[in-house]
Amino acid sequence: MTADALALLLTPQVLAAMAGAALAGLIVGALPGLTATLGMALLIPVAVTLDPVPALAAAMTLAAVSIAAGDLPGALLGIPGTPASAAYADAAHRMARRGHAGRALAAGLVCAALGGVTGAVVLWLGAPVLATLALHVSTVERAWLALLGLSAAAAVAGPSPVRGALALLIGLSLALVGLDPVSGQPRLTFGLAVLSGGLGLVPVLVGLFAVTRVLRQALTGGMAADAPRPTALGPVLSGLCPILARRWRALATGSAVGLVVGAVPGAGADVAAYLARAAAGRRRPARGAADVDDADLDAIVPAGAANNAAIGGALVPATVLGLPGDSLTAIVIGLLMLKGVTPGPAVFVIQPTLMTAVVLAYLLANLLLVPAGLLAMALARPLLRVPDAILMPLVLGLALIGVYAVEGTTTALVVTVVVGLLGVGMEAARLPLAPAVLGFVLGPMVEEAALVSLMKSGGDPAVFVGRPLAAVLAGVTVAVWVVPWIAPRIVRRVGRRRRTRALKR
Amino acid sequence: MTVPGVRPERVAGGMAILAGGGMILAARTLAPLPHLPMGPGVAPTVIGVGLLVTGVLLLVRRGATAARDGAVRSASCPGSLPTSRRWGLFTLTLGLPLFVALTLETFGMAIGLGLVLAPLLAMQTRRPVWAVGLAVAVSALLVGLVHGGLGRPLPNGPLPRVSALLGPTGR
Amino acid sequence: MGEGRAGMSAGERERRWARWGARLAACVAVLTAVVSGGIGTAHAEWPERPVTLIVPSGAGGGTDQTGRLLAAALEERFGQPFTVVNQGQGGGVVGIRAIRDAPPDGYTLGILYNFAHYKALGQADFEPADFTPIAQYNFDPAAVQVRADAPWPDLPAALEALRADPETYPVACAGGCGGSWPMAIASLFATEGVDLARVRMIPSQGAAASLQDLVAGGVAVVPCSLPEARGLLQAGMVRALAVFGEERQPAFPDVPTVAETMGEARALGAWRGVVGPAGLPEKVAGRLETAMDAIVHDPAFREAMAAGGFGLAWRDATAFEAFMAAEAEAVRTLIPRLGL
Repeated sequence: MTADALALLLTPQVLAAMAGAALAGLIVGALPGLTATLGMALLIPVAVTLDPVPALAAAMTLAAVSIAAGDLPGALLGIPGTPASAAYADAAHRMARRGHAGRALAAGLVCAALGGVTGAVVLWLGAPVLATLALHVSTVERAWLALLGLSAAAAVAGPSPVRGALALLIGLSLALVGLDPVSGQPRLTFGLAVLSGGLGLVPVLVGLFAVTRVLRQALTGGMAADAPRPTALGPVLSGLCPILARRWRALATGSAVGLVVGAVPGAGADVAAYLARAAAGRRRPARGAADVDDADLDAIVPAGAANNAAIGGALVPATVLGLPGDSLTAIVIGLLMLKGVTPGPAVFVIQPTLMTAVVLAYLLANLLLVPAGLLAMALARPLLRVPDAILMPLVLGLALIGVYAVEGTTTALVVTVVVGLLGVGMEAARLPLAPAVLGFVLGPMVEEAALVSLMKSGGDPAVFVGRPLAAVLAGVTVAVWVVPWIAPRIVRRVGRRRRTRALKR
Repeated sequence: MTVPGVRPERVAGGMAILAGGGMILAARTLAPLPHLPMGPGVAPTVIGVGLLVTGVLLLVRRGATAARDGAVRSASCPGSLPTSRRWGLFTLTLGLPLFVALTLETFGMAIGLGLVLAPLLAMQTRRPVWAVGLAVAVSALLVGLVHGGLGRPLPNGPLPRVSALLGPTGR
Repeated sequence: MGEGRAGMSAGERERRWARWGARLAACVAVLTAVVSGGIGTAHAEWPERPVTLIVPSGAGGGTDQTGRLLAAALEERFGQPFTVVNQGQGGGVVGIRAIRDAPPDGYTLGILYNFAHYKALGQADFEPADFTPIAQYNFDPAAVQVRADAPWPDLPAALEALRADPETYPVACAGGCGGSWPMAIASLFATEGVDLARVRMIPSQGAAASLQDLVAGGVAVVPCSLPEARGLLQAGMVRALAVFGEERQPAFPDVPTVAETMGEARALGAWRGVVGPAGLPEKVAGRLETAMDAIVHDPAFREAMAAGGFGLAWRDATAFEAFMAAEAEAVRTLIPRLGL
C-alpha cells in the first residue's frame, strides 16, 4: 500500500504541483500580511482543476512551507510573516541583530521540518488514537486550554511582568471590538457598522509589527539608539547540530505540544507556538560556557517545531472526524470533499492509498522545507543590503496591499494604520508587542468557552472542574501560576533545614 | 519621541486607567445572556479592571525598578528628539495610507499604492524622479502579484484597462 | 542614499520639489484624461470585466464550496472570471453588508443564506428588499443529531424529555442562535410545546464545533445537516433522529423525516442563493437568472454538489423573493419567543 501510495506521489505532475505550492507558500508566508490561510484559500480554485493527489499534495506543501516561511521577515526585519511566527520573532530578530540571522533561521527551519515530520508520522500511525482526544474536549476544557495559553504570555512578556500584562490586556481589548462571540451584540464598535466584523487578526498583526516598524524608522531614521538592522546572515548551517542536540528535549516538547494543541479543535499553530515556548523555555538552566544566543534559541527551537507539528495535529481530527482544528484545516476538509473524499473514521480504510499518499506528501513537504528555506534565505540575502530608507516604504506598501488582499475592506486598512500608531505608542512606553497578539487570538476563545460553559450549567461555576479532563487542566493552569512562586520558597526552606541539621552535627 | 521629564510608562499608565474606566462603563450597557446574570459585559469588565490595576502599578512604580528595566530594554527605546523633518515623514507615513484607504474606491489600489510610495521614497532618498519611478514599478509589481498572480480582486479606480492587461484573474 | 546630495541648499531643494510636483500633476492630468476616455467606451455588454462573487463565510465551509462551484460554472457561461471573495468576519455580517452596499452594476454579486435573524437580533439591519434576488440553488434540510448513547430511540422521545425537563438538555445553535439550524428546531419546539423560554440554546462557531461538543458531552442535541455530521455518523458516535425534509435524503436512507415521526410536513433548513445589490439592471439580472437555471439543471453541476453533500433546489427570482420575505417574517416572530 505504501509502495502504491509512493507511486501515486512520485509523478512529475505531483512533484510539479508541490514545487509550485512550495514557491507560493514561500511568497505568502514571507510577505507580511499574506497568511498561510489566505494561501490555502487561493489554492482552492487551482486545486479544483487538478487530480486529487496533486491537489492535496499541493495543499499540504503550501501549509507547511508558508507557516515556516513566516520566520524569514520575523528574523530579518522583526516583522513576523504569519501569526504563528509572532511567538518567537523577537528572539529570532535579536539573534539577527547580533549577526546570527542565518543560525536563527536555520534552527527554525530544521525544527519546523522535524516538528512537521513528527506530525506526519503521528498522523500516519496514530490518527485514530489521537483523534479520540478531540472527543473529550468540550467548551469547559477549551476554556482552560485558552487560559493556559494566556498564561504562556509570561514567556514572551520580557523583563517586566507589569508591562507584559498591559500589552496582553491591550491585545485582549482590541479583540473585544465587534460582535461578541456568544450573543452577537455589537461591542465597542462606537456605533460604526463597519467594525462589527472585529478588527481582524491580519490587520492587527501587520499593524502592530510592520506598520509600527515603518513608523519607528520614519521617526528615528535608523540612525538613533535603535539597534541597526542585520546586514548579513552570518553562519547558517555550521554549528547547528550541537545546538539542536543540546535542545532535543525542547524540540520534543515543542513537537508534542504542537501535536496536542493542533488536535484540539479551535486552537491552531499560533497558540501552539506560544504554549510550546512557555512549556519548554523555562526549565533550561544555563550550562557550561553560555552562548549569547542560548536564551533566544531556547525560544525558537520549541516554538518553531510546535507550529509545524500543529498542522499535523490539526489534520488528525480533520481527516478522521471531519472536525477542523483551525482555519487551515477547514480548507483542507473543503478540498478533500471537493475531491470526493469524505473525512471520517473510515477514510483510511475506504481510500487507503490516497490517504497514505496525502500523509506521505505532507511528510515530503516537511523534508522539502529545508532546501526551500535555504533557497529563500539565499534570495533574501540581497534584501539585507537595501537601506531602510527604501525598504520601509516598500514594507508599508506591501502591508497595505496584503491586508486588503486578505480582508477586502478599506476599514481593515484604516485599522492597520491605527494599530500601527498604537504599536509606536506601546514601544515608546517599552511595552512588548508579542503578548498583544496572543491576547488578541486567545481573548475571544476564553470568553466564548467560559460563557458557553456557564450557559450550559445555568450559571453554576462548578462546571469548570466537573469533568475529569477539565479538573486536570484546571490543576495545570493553577500550577503554572503557583509553582514558580512557591517552588523557590520550598527549596529555600529545605536548604535551610539541611543547613541547620549540618550545623547540629 | 520622548519628551524630557515625562516618563512614557507613566503616560501609558494614565492611558490604561482611562481606557480601563471607559471599558467598564461601556460594559454596563451590554445586555446579559438568556438564563444567566452575566453576558458580553463580563469580558470588558474584567479587562477594564486589569487595565486599571496595571495602569496604577505603572504610575506608582518606584523609579529604581523602572530604571533597571530601562537598562535591560533600552535597545527598543529611540533616542534623541527627532527633527521637524522626521515628524513630517512620520505624519506622511501615517497620513498617506489613511488618505489612500479612504479614497481607495476613487483612486484604486495601483494609484493608491503609488500615492503612498512615491512621496515617502522621495522624502527618504531625496531623489524624486528616481523615487517616482521606483514607486510606479513597485506598485505595478505588487498589484500584478496580488491581482494577477493571486487572483484577489482589487479596486481599479480609474484604471480598468490596466487590470485587463494583467490577464484573467481568479484562476 | 542621498548622502551625496546633502550639500544641496534648502532653496534648491524646494525648487526641485516644486518642479517635481508640477511634473506629477501633469502626469495625473494625462492619466485621468486617458482613463476617462476608457470609461466612456466601457459600457459595452455586461460582463466585460471580471465579476466579484462575495461569499459571506470563511474559506472551506459549505457556502464557500458551493460558491466556488457556482463561480466556475458562471465563468464558463459568461467568459469572464467570477472571482470568489471570502468575507466571513462577524458571522457573515461583513460580507452580506458588502453585497448590499456594492454598486448595482452587475460586477459585484454575492451568495446569500438564511440572514433574517441578523436584523431580529439587532446585529445588522438587512432586509430582503436590500438585494436583487437572482435564484436559489441550494437547500439542505436540518436534521436532529444526538449522541449515540442518548436514551431516546426517536424524535418524539427526545421531545418528550425536553418538554418535561427543558433545562437539563442543552441544544446547540450551530453558527449562532438565530441561524438556519437552531431556527428549524425552535419552530419544532414551538409547535410541540417545548418551553422555548426555558430550553438552553448554546451558541457555537458552527456545525463542526457543535458536533464535537456533542460527542464531548457538552450539549445533548445538535440540529445541523446530515452531510455535516457524516463523519461522526459513520463512526457510530452520533445518531440522527430525524430530518426536516419533505422526503428522506438519498444518501441517508435510514434517517426518517420529521413528517414520518411526527405526522407533520416540514421543510426547514439552510438555503443558499445568488443575489446582487438592490437595483441591479433588469437585463443583467435576467441573464444571470437564465444562466443559473441552466447551471442548476446541468448534470455536471448536480453531480459536483452531490459529491460535496449539498442538496439542490431551484427557485427563480420571483419565487426566491417571496421565499425570502416569508422566511424573514417567520424568524421575526420566532426569535422573541426564544428569549434571545
